[in-house]
Amino acid sequence: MKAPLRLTLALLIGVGTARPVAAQWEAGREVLRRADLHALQVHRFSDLVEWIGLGGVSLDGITWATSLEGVRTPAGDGIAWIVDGVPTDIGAFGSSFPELLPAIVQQIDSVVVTRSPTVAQGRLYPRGSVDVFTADFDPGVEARAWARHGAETGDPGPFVYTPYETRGVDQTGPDGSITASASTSTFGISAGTRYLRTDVSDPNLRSAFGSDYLAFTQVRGGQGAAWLRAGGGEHRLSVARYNQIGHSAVFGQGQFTRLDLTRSQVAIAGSLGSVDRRAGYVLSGRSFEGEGPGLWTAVSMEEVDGAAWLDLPLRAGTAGFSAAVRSGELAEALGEDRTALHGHLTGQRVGGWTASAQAGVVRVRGEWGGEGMLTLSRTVATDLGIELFAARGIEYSASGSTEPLPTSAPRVRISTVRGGIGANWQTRSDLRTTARLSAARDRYTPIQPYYAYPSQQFAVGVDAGADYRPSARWQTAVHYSGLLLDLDATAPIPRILEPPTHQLRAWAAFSVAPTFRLSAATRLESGRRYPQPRLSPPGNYYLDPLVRIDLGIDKSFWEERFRTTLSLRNLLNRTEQDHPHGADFAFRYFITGTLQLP
Amino acid sequence: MVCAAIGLAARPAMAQRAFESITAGIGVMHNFGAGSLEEFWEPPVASDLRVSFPFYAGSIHFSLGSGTYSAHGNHQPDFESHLLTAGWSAGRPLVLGADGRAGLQVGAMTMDFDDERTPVGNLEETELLLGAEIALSRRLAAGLGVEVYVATQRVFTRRPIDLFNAGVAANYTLGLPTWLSGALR
Repeated sequence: MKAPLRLTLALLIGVGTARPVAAQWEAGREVLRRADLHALQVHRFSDLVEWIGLGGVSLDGITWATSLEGVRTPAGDGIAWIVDGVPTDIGAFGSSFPELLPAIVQQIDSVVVTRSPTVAQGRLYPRGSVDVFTADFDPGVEARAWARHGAETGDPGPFVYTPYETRGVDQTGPDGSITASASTSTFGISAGTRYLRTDVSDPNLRSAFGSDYLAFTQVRGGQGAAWLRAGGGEHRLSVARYNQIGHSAVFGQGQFTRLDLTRSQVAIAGSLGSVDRRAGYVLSGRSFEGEGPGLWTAVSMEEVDGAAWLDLPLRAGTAGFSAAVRSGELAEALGEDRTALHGHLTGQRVGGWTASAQAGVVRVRGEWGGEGMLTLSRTVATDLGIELFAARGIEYSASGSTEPLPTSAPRVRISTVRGGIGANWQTRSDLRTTARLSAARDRYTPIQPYYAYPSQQFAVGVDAGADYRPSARWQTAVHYSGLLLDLDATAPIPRILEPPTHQLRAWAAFSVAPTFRLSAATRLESGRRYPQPRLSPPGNYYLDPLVRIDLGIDKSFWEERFRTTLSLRNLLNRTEQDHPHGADFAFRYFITGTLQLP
Repeated sequence: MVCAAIGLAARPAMAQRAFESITAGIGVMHNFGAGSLEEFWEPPVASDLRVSFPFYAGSIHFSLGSGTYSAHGNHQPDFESHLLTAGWSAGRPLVLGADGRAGLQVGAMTMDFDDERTPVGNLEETELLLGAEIALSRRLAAGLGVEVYVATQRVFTRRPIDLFNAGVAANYTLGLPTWLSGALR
């Protein structure tokens, strides 16, 4: 089996290994290596969400409602977050909490963003996946400490003593993480802890809370892992517990509520056997405890995820099946307690095409549904490959995330149809380009009669990018995402998640010397006009186009054991905002330090 | 008021190795303009401590300028200001043995308020600044030099503070030990 095909398989079924995949480049797939993340000043998961532009809405830059391609679902996500092969649900109270992911950003080896439908452990994620791969530790003992602090510009400064007094500014930090690991070639253990804090001072947030204090969000927790490589496979046991104190919002209504959420997870994942005849398994248990808005005044819920798969070699490909189960109070509350059985067939070559098909049945809350995905790919020439994909999913979900529904868990029937074509080509060894055109139709129908607002959306989007790395010293990349057609037949519920029609992201990094590096990044977004939310006063619900320029200066010392970075974000001081009700961010600056031993 | 500062002699960028030497100086700096601050405070004459190193290209500079802003009236407190900057500049030889250089700065302006009279707000503030500087330097004797410079800086408070400083500094250059230059490099 060729390596790219193996990669596709691994991503599709969520093989529980932690192998870096940085070298891969496929249509609709964006690969960010560790050095790229550093150049982009990604130090938090929310920095990552912000950069890859999931088209979501954040009020504080930490808590998000996410939606790839901007096509809304009641669940508000539709994205698989997969950490070292383990699908990791980070949703609660109708929002996504990426900072509760059981990983530490400073340990990430690479991130693969897939903007095509993905099947992971028997569940179709219509909007793709974000695969996070943590780095393998070199044999030996290693410890790393990292810290960052930053602030928004625009403080009153000395004018606090004058008639020109203005409000204080947002503070980002202090952030910090400490990790340590000890490993041999067959066995290893690691442990880490991280902390972050953001204080936002925007008047609209403060007035929404009815007080004059700064709204703060704080995340703290820790994790540990042990892994064993034996018999051609790898087994990994991980535990993590993170707590987030902050605030949540009923989008569109301008209502804010304090939030205290703890997410715990124990997972064991692994693979068995050789690459062409492999089996794998994932078993994870997690719990949410917290206090939240509305009816979710206090919750404590657990769930269990389990999946197993087996791949068998055929003469011209691979066949296999996977079984998955998800149960527990949390899953039930989200309407996603399910049992799924999926079969997949990959690698048949007909006329030069490689086909990968998956189909499965799911049983959700006693209801049967089905979902499937077909991918055709072909290498047209040595430097050009194309890919066709189609996905169909019928499933049940439930959430009040993007809808101002006065209930926490409306049950909604979702029907998705997605398809597209992608191409990637490489004309030079240092230049890769990719493009993808996709169309999506979502239809969902709330089940409760009172909220029977059947709605559907149809969107056509394009993703294109280029990655140019002429040398180890000089790297640059550019990505464009655009909505060519976006029809929203949702009525009478106003649309809340409004994606930018056009988004362009570009960055470049240059190493002046091995220990001194400069980086620059820019993000351009078209303006967004929001409908007036229900129960909200008339106003200008429009966000201006965004032009953001970031600069980073990075110097390391002592054989790169100590590294310090100065980051200037939004250097043009343009107001950066995700939602008219959310915090606005001006020119910000950060100082980061990393110490690694030995 | 007499001030102390570091002036940094510009060195030719090409014939150098990063961190092979250090130039330290002491001087005086006068604030000729403090923008919107002048409505309420009198800009100071400040001391200026400066240190610089040859870099991979050009040179890098660090400086600490300190002075006290005196309030015009009783409604505002005096405050002690520290301008801490890091910068990079490129230079070239000019005439009569003089070197010229120009560069950019990033740093912070810290303010320590004597607000016993007006106890509102924070006692200390630190704000980001970006600036630009041009300088003219000349070596007088082995290792000893003098430098004059002008700098303009914007402090990113909500109501921006635009500073315009000019100073003169005496400086001394000496080589760094290999272990130290290697660690810095």
